Amino acid sequence: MIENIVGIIAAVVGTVGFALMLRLRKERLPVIAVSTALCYGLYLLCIHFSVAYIGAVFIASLFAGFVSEFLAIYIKAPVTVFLTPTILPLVPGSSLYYTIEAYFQGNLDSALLHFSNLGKTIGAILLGIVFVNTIMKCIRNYKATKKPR
Amino acid sequence: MNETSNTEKLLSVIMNLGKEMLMCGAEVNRVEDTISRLCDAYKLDNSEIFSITSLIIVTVKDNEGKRFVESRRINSYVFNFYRLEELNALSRTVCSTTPSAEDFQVMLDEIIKHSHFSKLMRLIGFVLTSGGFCLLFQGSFTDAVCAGLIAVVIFLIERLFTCLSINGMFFNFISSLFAGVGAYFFAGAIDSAHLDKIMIGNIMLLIPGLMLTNAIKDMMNGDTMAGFLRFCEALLTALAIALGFWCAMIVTGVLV
Repeated sequence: MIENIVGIIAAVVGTVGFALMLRLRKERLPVIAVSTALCYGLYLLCIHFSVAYIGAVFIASLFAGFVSEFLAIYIKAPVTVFLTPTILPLVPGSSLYYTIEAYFQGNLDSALLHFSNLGKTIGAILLGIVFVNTIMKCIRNYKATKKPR
Repeated sequence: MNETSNTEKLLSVIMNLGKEMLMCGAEVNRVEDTISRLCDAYKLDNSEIFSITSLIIVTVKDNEGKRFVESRRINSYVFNFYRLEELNALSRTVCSTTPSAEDFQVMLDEIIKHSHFSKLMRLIGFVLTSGGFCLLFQGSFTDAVCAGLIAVVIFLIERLFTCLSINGMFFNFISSLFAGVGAYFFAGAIDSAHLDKIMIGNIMLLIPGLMLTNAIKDMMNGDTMAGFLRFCEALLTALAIALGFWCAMIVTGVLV
């Protein structure tokens, strides 16, 4: 439990830092902090209820996507502004590192394992984003057809 | 005569806006969409817009049937979400109020002038990112501090490279190299420091997450070419990180 809370705090700190790196305006930082905490919390919750790792990433990515779309409509800013930081704790930086390390140490089996993990995680994140993107597009197009001309 | 030069001016300002948006880190699709909305708002008919990550081309026809073509080449990106938000707001305002080309340009210049971000905040951002993600991937507090120190070095490298305007790929390589050497140094000097955790914290600084999400979004919106270009960029960045770390292994292996 304690380590999960530390994890969420670390994720929030890292994400806020990343948002500063991308020069996000300061008024958005609290919003990003909350959305990240919820997104990563949901991921940990999924893991806790023994959802498979990839599934947990996918669910969290879906959540991040919807939250970002909602924020973008509510605050009237591009989706990217919210999505990129929120999704960052799910990005498998460790898999990338272990792939490189194992590969250059000549440990090909281990490298392949980490690499496939890297691919799967990125795939799950991207699938989540694409899913949300498509749904929002459908809703927008539907509204556009409804609008009286 | 007056009318034609006005169309030309308008097109030029719209292109400037599009270029700025692309440089700040917007998806190609968003840029195309914004330009097309602006052209519609100014009643520039038959606008044809094509954009990839490094180029925007727009053709419009004014109401006398004369055609105007302009292009913008994008050489470098400086991710700036603050400016992106402001530009997005500006395009909304312009679409509803349609000011003259001169006023539009003044508003654009104003945004570009005041949307700079303090260097200190970015430095804090670098340190927090590497420290935070170091902790997230089960690093100890010592690891986080070490990663934070290396992040300061990476920040300085970025400042230097921006001044010298050296391309992004080489920056990633050099940063990764320095991060690797630094991580080896700390792991060797401090007993409780872990090489892998420090390195992961710093890799998160360089990881091309924004490029990858933009790439996929562009591809999903049917813009395969722009998506692929961005995707290749993301892959090459990852490769540069790997090579930098590899060199760090060799350098430290030789030295130690």
